[in-house]
Amino acid sequence: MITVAGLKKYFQVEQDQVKAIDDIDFEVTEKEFFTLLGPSGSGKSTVLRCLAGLERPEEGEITIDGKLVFSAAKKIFLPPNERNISMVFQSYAIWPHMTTLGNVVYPLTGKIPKKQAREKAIESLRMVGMEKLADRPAPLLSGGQQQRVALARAIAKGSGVLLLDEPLSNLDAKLRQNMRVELRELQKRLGITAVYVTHDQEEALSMSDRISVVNEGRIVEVSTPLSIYQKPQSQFVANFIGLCNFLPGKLVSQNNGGIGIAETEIGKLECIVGGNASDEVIVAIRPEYIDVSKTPFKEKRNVFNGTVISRTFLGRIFDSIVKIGDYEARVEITSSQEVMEGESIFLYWPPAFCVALPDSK
Amino acid sequence: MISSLTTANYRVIWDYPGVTKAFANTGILGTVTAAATMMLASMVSWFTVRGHFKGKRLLDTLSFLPIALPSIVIGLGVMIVYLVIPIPIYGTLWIISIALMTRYIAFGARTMSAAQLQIHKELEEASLVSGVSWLGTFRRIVLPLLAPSFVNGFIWVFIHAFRELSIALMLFSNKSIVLSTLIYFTWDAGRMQETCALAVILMLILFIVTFVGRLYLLKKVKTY
Repeated sequence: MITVAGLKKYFQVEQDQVKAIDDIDFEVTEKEFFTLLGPSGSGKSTVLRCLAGLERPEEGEITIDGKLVFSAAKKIFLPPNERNISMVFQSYAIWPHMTTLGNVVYPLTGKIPKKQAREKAIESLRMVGMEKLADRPAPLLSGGQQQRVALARAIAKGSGVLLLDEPLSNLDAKLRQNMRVELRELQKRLGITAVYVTHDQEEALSMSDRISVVNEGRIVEVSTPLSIYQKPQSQFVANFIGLCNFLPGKLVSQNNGGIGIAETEIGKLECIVGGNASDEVIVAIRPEYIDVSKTPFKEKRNVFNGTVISRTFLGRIFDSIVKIGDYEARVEITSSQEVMEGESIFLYWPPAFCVALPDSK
Repeated sequence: MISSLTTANYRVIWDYPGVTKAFANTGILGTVTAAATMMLASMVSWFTVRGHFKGKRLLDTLSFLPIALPSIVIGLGVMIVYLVIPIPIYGTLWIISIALMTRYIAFGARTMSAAQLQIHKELEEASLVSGVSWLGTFRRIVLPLLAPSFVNGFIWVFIHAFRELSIALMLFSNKSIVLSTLIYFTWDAGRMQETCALAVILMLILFIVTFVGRLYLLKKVKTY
């Protein structure tokens, strides 16, 4: 559906050339919900704007729906209005001099007969639950309503690709959660391909078929939400998404199944070998994957003894720091377990959730 | 004193040769100049605010530079230019209009740039991704959003063009007589009463234009 190859985009800032996109390739299949996730300034929005034709890349090729819309080599650049896309902006970009309906019917005006355009626009408004406010002047809509109108406008155009640039980040927390579900359902129901840009990891994890983590103008990793969370392939991804303990070590053995033993300051750790890690590694494990017990575990490997040095009650869990030797591990202890500060406990680090990553230093 | 008040002068002036023409000319000059200046200013401001090309600073400066030129110098300059280059507008209303546009483009461009800066870039981009061309976007999104500022600038230029004397005096001919030059020559001919009558009418027209313009703008501001 969408193919991006060798994409590069530079910005001139004073005398310096900043590489906003530094050689990016990816493919989005039909009806997929594909998310570009990254910190602000990572270049993710620029990628989306290149897809839309709002930015002109320096190099590479972009194909949308079988049509070559950009090619630096062939000197092809289709303007946004000639691409089979629609887009929802972070600012909603609702035109204040029109009504709700006026905004939604806009992409269809002059392209199909007036009556038909109106019906289609009303239908789009119905899908986002806004048909009752069709005649309301746009400036009188609330933020959440504007968001829905922006979505209806994008749907009304009827293109196969929907580009979304942080569309939920200006909404309040509750509304944001509802919209996540609604947006995802709408995308599935209409069978459109969505490219979604966000810096919010929860949004990315909950909505996407696949996530592409972007950092400094490059794609660091592309995978399903579950795999990105449980088996990140780099320290950056592990750190950016969720919380993670990092333990430097040396990979002393590795079998064909991708299981290895790392020698670390707290002892030998059996772990999955991720990325192309070898020799110097960082072992990553998320706080919630560490098992806690007051009595010894049956397992022989990956069991350690530590002292709870601090704990913060968060309702569901105690967010705790447990000292193993000199290493301070962040551990989540379920609040039903009465573990006190200063108490000695046993920790089990399941090998399936310990990932040895290449040491980025 | 009161008994000597008369409206006779307001009737007499219409029999003078060229008075009707002067009114018509002034109306045309004001409208055309204001419209052309503000349209050019809208284009210039769009390019200087949104453009990505190298010469946009230069364009911005060029549009502001005429503010430093005295009217009389603009009048003289435009006269010499159109005496030399073979575009036959010398002696017509259009040469005055061109000179006035030069005079007021700085104000127009500043007004429109300020307005353009207020329009979020994504409002235009949303139109482009809706499948509407750049020109359609300009007409259906940018211009309507700029309308209050456009009208504001239009009224300002219209009123200034309507009453401007020095440029009109430098460039007028029998065919292109306007109110200000008419008033000047009526006074020069020693007809004080008629001069005053004309001046009062000129002011009345300008008052009405200002008032109607304000009404429109107030209404616009309310809806946004």
